[in-house]
Amino acid sequence: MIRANNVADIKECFVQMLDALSSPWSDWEIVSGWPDRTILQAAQKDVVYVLSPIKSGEMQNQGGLTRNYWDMVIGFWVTRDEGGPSEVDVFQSNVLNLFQNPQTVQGSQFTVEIASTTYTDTTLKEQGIYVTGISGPIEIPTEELNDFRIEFTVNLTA
Amino acid sequence: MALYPVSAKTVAKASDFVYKETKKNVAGSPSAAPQTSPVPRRSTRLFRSIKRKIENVVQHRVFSDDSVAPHNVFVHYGTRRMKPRRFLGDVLTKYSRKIWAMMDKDFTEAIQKIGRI
Repeated sequence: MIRANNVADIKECFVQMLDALSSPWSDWEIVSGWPDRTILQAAQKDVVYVLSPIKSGEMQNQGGLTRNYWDMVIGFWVTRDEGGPSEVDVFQSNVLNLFQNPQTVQGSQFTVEIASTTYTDTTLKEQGIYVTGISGPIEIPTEELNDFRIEFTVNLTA
Repeated sequence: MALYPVSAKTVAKASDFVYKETKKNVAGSPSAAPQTSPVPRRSTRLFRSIKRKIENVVQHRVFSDDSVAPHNVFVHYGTRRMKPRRFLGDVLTKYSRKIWAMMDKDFTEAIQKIGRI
């Protein structure tokens, strides 16, 4: 189970969850945090990046522990040589298919290490993370003409 | 009609809050290290680009003016060489629930005053 209010744990769960998915997700490199120039140049595949979640509110439960609302950016960075706009479209539809279906996103199994404990075949639900919605995509302007980026914001509680 | 002044007041309060928080995010020390948050205020162009426009009484717009800081979008969303610093987006993420709650409270109080609830 993730530690309370630990953004790194939440992010790591999503990175491992996406990394464990089958094609076309396996055709992309899942990067935790901002993919700077070094990461983009070293990447052998198109890059999907997961940024740290930002707390957007608190959910008060009577008699229970307070849970937080979080917003987390999941983006896609591709060059024209690696697929360009058509690959962006593939990413877009796969993100929506994944996150708009609660059974798929909450039931996807992955392995993650949290605070020196390895959880095998765990799910977001077992880790106390619930996806409540997704917004986007927004097309992000890039400096390089051959770069293409889009981002989604995933809404969740943890 | 009784709620019209409340709408105007609460929208103005909300946009003022977003405007001030956004300004804070681009008001870093000019001597701060590159790529830190808040965004260092070196040329002050980004700081000056943050504007608030009143479209009508209940519609305000907080934005970064491209004509003052054409690089605003690259600072906000990042580039290959620079990590993103979402000076406006983060304000909305962090405070949108707080802003809605603030507006909800203002409206509830106004409705209670005129005896509808």
